[in-house]
Amino acid sequence: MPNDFPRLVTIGCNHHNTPLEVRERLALSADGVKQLQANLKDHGDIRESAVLNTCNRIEIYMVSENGNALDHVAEMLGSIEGFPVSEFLDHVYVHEDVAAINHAFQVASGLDSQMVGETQILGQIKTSYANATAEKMVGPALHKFFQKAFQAAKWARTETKIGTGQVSLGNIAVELATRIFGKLLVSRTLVIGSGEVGREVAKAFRSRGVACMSIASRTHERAEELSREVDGLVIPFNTWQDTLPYVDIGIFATSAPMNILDKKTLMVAMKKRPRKPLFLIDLALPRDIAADAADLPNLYLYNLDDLAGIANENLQNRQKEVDNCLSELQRKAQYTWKSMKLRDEAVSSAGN
Amino acid sequence: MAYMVALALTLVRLGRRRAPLHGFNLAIILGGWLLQSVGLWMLGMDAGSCPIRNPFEVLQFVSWSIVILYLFTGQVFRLSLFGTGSASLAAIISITAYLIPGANKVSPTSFIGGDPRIDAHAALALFSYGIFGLLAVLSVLYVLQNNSLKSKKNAGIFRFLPSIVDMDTVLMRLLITACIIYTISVSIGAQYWREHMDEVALPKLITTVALLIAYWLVLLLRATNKLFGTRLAWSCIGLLIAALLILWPVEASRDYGKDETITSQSQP
Repeated sequence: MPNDFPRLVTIGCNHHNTPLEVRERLALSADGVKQLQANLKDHGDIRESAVLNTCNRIEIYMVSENGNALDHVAEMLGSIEGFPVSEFLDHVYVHEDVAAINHAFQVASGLDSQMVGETQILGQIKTSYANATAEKMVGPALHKFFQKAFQAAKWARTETKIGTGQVSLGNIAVELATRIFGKLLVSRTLVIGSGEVGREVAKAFRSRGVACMSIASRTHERAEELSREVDGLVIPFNTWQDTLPYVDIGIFATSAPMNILDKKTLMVAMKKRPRKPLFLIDLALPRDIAADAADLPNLYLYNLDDLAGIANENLQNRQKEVDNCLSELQRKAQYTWKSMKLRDEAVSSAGN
Repeated sequence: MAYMVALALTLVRLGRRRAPLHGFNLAIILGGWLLQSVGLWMLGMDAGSCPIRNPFEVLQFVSWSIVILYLFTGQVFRLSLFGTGSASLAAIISITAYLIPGANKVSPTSFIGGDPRIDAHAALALFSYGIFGLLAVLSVLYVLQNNSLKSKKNAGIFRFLPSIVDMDTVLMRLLITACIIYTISVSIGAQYWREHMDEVALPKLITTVALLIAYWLVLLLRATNKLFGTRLAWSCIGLLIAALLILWPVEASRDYGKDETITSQSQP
């Protein structure tokens, strides 16, 4: 009977099978990620591991030596306060061995992303790999796994046309704003939070010449940094709600664990600016703005899923290129799996 | 036909995910309008006055007014798809004029060609109908844009619609213009009515004044920020439908008073 261990396993949830409202409950805080990493490191049956936690996916890459990897992960996630394990299990996927490699190649090259062909995910995987390496959670197997994934991503980006026609979130948001306001030269913009996605969108608006940009963030230094990049004005975080009646575009990208703007507050703000439309872009996960606020007249609320949906409208034109790329990545994954010889090593070490 | 061609070309372009050809469309619409002007001029020569002697001519005049107003205002406001929308409405009204049975019969007792105040009143009223038409076209574009933004649709026609703010601004300007022109028209008509009360039917009087009040009310509500956005757009669409419907009592009253005069004159 062949030895079934160790296994290369990927366990996770992503935007494909998990709706936004569930994803925002599954989103791990920075402390949650640290706790999960500590649990993985201390677990006796897990030899190597790394955690990828983005707004669209939570994935755990591991080399499992014994038992049911999903049970282990569920148990560890259950120990994180407030994490809805049952919802996670309802939407979870598990990839093993060559399928895990193939999945990682697709993720790293942006083919599994909500906006197909985007490049931000590669940076996020590199960060999670660096964090896991720093925590001494990565061994030879995951090291090779990640290095090959980075190579696959580089190949996909340089040798195929999957990124051609790809539009950024910032450009989509600007185009939508143009459909609401026409020229943006007199539009006033408010940026809440200073995360990477928020910065990208804020820069896109600045490049289109919005009249003024106010920035509020819990981290004052990051707000200052962004204000220098976009020539904006930093306002105290506790005053941003007061400015709502006077802005036209709101970019929300905080890491707050729950809504920071509800329908009632928006109703009050809208009454002070009758007739003037308000465009709100919620890039946060969990979302910063209550979803029911979208019902308010003259208010246009877009979240990450909405923007990604628009970005992928031109995907049909690129579908053939994407299909070719997927086939080639699958072939590369097979080759990588053979070269890793994870089980062969285990069998031989068991024999010694 | 030209207006329909402009619409068809735009739809084909949008179907191919391409922006409408503004200059080409404008040329086709202008060509159609010139042909329509020639037709109305010939009818006017025949009538010896503004050619609004029957429902056919009235609808043709409204259609013509919509297009000429677009040709002027469209170039100022530069709103995408405004021309196609205006041409579509003009085409629908023109086709309706052809489809109404017996619409082109000229009554021997027509008011038109008599007192110049009646001519001015009728011509201005129908010209304001052209503005009502443009208001409704813009309102439809507004509702489409709003709904597409609310439902997160970005493909096809929606990408080429004018912006919400631009349309709101133009709606307000057109509403003011419509109210002013229609008020002038009704005022001129009122002068004639004071002297010839027996020649104006009550249903015509009531519906005309009601329409005038309705447009002013909408303008007032819009100016005081009580009516805006899609509710304003739907109001403008509803008012155009009402305006077109009241053409019926207006047309029905065309011979009001004249029959009696003719009958009494013919009796010994």
